[in-house]
Amino acid sequence: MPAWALRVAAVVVTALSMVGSTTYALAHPKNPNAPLQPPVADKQPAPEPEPDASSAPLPFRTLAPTIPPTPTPVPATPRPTATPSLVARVATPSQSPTPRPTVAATLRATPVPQITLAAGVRATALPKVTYTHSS
Amino acid sequence: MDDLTFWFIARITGLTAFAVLSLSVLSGEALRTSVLDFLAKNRAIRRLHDFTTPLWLPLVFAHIIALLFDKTAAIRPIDVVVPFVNPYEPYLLPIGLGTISFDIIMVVTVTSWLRSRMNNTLWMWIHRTSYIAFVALFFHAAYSGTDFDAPLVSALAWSTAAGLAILGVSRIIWGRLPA
Repeated sequence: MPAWALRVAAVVVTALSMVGSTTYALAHPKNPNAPLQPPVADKQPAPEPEPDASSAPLPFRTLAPTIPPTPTPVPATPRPTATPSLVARVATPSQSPTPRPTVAATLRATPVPQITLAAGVRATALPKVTYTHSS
Repeated sequence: MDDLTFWFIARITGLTAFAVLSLSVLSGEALRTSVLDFLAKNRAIRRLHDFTTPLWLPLVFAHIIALLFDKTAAIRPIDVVVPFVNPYEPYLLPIGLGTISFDIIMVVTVTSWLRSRMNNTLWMWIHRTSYIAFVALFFHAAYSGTDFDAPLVSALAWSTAAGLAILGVSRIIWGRLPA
């Protein structure tokens, strides 16, 4: 292969690397495992309006707590791949990067919704849930 | 410019510079081994090796300049040339390795331009430090880069580095490999 062909190949490899890097970086603006985090704008979803308890058509409501999701094993060093909600965090020279939250901490921090009963509505207890199998 | 513009530029140029620098190291190793003999003669590969410099040099400078302007990285000018003085305590080593790599490849590049005025043995030993620079560059990218944690990028980078390492060790042990 002549030298000019190798040069053309090198330029092509560089261009393809540039295109691939650009595509990847734009598609993944934030990596939670990265030491430096970009100042991405806070994009927390708007809070959903609370349902009106008096207008709900349910025959009865209970005070039983919401059944938490089935816990999944937490690896020793969790490395989530999904991009979480983007949070603004700008690193400054005088501060070290904030420790990353673990998956377990995220699950524990999930708030349990509180239900307010309307007047005259009685609360009943849910039967105990028994798991017969798991997949 | 958007706050993320320099952040994206730094990442894109960093990833691309790693790819082109890998090509540069590969072509340099191919000069002393016969790994690319099936592709071209040594003279053509030598021209390819020289040609990669104007490809990766702007990318490396763009990477550094973007990090200097980026508010996320907040890299200071002194961090570019003096290793291990950056304020990111948990990442002092990986970011410092990037500084070391930059310093070495600048020395290697400048001495290559001045090769005709230098002692050949001295030039050769200086040029061999580019292996150290590449190792430092790889660990800088792997442990302080944002994208090397991704499976696709990580697989490509580690396989490339492993291939170059095998070639380098082979050259050290056996010299020029048979065709």
